[in-house]
Amino acid sequence: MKHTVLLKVRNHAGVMAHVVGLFARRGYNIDSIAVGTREKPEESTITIIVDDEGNDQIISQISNQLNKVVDVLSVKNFSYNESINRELALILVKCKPTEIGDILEIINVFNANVEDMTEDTLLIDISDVSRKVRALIRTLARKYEILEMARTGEIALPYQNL
Amino acid sequence: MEKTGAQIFIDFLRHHDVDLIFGYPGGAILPIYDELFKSGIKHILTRHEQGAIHAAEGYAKATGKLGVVLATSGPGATNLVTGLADAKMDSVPILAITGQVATPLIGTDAFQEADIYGISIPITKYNNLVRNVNDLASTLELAYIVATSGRPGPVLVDIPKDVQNAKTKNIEFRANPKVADRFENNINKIEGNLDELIEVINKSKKPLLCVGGGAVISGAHKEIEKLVEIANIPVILTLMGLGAFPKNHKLSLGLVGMHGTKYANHAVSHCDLLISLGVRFVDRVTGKVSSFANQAKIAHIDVDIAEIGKIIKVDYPIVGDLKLVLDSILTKIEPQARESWVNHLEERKQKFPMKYKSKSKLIKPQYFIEQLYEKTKGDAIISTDVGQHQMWTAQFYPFSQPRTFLTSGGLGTMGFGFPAALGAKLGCPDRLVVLISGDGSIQMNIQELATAAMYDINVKIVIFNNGFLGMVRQWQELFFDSKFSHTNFHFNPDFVRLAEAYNLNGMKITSDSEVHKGIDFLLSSDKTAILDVMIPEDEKVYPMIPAGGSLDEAIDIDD
Repeated sequence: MKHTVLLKVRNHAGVMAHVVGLFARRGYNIDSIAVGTREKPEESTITIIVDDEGNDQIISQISNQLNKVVDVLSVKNFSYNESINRELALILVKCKPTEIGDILEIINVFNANVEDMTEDTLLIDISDVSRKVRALIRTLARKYEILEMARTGEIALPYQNL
Repeated sequence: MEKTGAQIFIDFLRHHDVDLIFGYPGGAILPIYDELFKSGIKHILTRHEQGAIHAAEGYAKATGKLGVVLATSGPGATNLVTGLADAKMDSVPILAITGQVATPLIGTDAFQEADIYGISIPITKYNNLVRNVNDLASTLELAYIVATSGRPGPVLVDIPKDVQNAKTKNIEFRANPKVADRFENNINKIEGNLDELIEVINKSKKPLLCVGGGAVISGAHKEIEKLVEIANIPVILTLMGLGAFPKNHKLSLGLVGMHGTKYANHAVSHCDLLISLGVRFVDRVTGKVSSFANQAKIAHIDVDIAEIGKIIKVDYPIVGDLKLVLDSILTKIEPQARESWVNHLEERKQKFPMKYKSKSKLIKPQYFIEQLYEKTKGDAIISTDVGQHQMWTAQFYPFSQPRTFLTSGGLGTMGFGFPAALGAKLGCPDRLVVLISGDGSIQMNIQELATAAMYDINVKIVIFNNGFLGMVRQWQELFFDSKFSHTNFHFNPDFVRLAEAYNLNGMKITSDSEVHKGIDFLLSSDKTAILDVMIPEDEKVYPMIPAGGSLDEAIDIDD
C-alpha cells in the first residue's frame, strides 16, 4: 500500500541529502518526492510517497529513522485513502494540425489544459492524483509522440474530517 | 564582545569542562590549534587521525564523558571516517571537529579539500558545515546536546579556516530550541505500557533478561542486579553488555550469540519471556531470526524507538532511559523463586560448561586470560581489538563492572584496541588498563606506540600471536575447506624489539609455564609494555553458531 510521509524540515543545505540518503541506505523505495518552502522561509515541507510492499513495519521504521535526523522537525505519515493528493505534470506532445481536435478532446476528458501551442507541438498541463496523470500520459502516448515531460511527484495532506 | 571562531571553540570546551582532547593538526585547522596553544586544555597528539578518534572513543567508553577529536581538512578528516562509523555503531559520544578549506574555496577541489560533511552523513548522529561564524556557537552547542543525549553518538562539525578566523558577537552557547528541545525534552519520558509489562514479568515462569550495551551507557547495572535478585531472572549478556551484570553471579549465563555459552543460547530458545534491555538484536546475537526466542514473548526496553521492531517483532515495547524504566519496574515487581527454571539452567551450566583443550605446545589463550583475571583480580579495564582474541576475552574474562570492557562491537574495527586503551588510561589514570590484541589487529594502529612513549601512558599490551588472521582463518578452516587464502602473515616484526625501539618494554613467551612470569612482567612494567604471547595457529573460538544458523546449532570442540 502507498503511504505519504510528510516531513517538516529545517531549510538547511544538507537536509535533502540526509533524508534521501537514509532511504537509500536502508533500502526503502521512494515513489516520488516533492519539496517546497513553508510559511517561514527557514522551513520546508518534503512530501515522500512510499510503497510499504506489504510490510506494515516499514512505515513506522521509516518514520522512526527520519525522526532521528536532527534537521527534521516533524514526521507525519498517512495512507493513500486518508489524504487529498495532487501531482502536476507538464507534457509536450508532437502533433499535426489535423490531430489537434482529437487531442483537445482527450485533454477535456482529463480536465487538463493547453498552455502553449506551435505548428507541430502542444504543451499540456494537468494537476490531479497520480493515477489520473498516468492515465493521461498513457492515453497520449498510445497515439502521439511525447517529446518531453516533467512531473512534480505527488504532494498530499490528510483530510481533517475523517 | 567579539570573538573569533577559534576562540569560541576553546570557550565551548571550557563551557563543558572538557579538559582533554585528541587530535592531529594541519593547515585548515591552524587557527584553532593556535588558540589551543595557550588554553591550558590538554591535547594528545597521536600519530594518525584514526588513532586520535579511537583514543577519544576509549576515553568516552571508559569515562562516559564526551570524547573530542580534532583533525584538519581533506585526508585528516577522511582518516576519522572509520572512527565515526565505529562510534555510530556502538553509540559512543564523540565530537569531531574538522578544519575545512576557506569558504571561497569550498567546491573548487582546493588543496586538501574533501566533502567531509557529505561523507559523514551516514556515520554521524548529527553533522554540520558552519559557513558563517555567527552560527558557530549555537551549532557547537547543538552538536554537544545531540552527541550526549538519549542514545549517544558521534557528531561532526566542519569549520572552514576563514570561519575560525572571523569575528562575531554571537558567542553564547545556546542551541536552536526548536531542534534542541526534541532531544532534551525526551530525557525523562517513558512511553509504553509499563504496568502491563510488570504484570507479564510477574506471571512469567521462565523469564530471561538480555542485557546489552544500552545498560552500560544508561548506568543501569545496579538496577539490573536488584531486579535479578528480587525476581530471580537469569541473565544473558551481549558483547556490548559485558560488565553491566557480573558474569560470576549465579544467575548470569554469560555471553549470548555466535560465540555465546551453550546455556545462554539454550535459555533464549526455551524462555517464555525475553526482557531485552538496551540491545539491538544484531545478527551475531540472534543467529537465524525466525528461530530466535521463538517460544517467548518479547519485551524490549530501549531509549531509541527506531530499534524497537527493527529486527524482532516486539510484544511489549517500552521507550525510555533504561535506568528510569527499571526504577519504575522495581517498585512493583514481585519477589519470586522461579526454582525450576533457575535450576534447569544451572544444570545446563554444569552439563555444558565453557571449555578448551588444555594441551598444546604453545600457550592456550583461554588459559592466559583466566590467569590474567586472577592476577588483575578482575579489576582492570580491558580493551580489545577484533577477532579471536576479542571473543576469548569476552568468554573467559568475567567482567563484573560496567565500562571495564572496551571493544569495537558493532563495526568490528581492527586497530581500535590500542588507541582506545590509551584514551581509557588518560581518562582513568588510576586504573590498570590492559589491551588484549592479535598480531593482525595490533599492526593496524601500532604507530601509537610513539604516543604511549611520548606522554608516558602506561598500558599493558598482550598480543596473541599466531601469525594468522585467526578469526578469518577459523572461518576458512570450517567453511572454506581449509584453503587459507591470504590469512597467513608469513612475516611479522619482532614485537619485543619493536617495543624497545620506542623505548618501551617487551617480552615474548611461548609456553604455559611462562604465563605467570609474562603477566608479572607486564603488570610490573613502569611504562607501556608488550607481551608477545605465542599461541597455536589452529586454536579456535568455540562454541560457534555458523552465520545464519539458529542458536541451538552450535559447533563445539568435541563435534
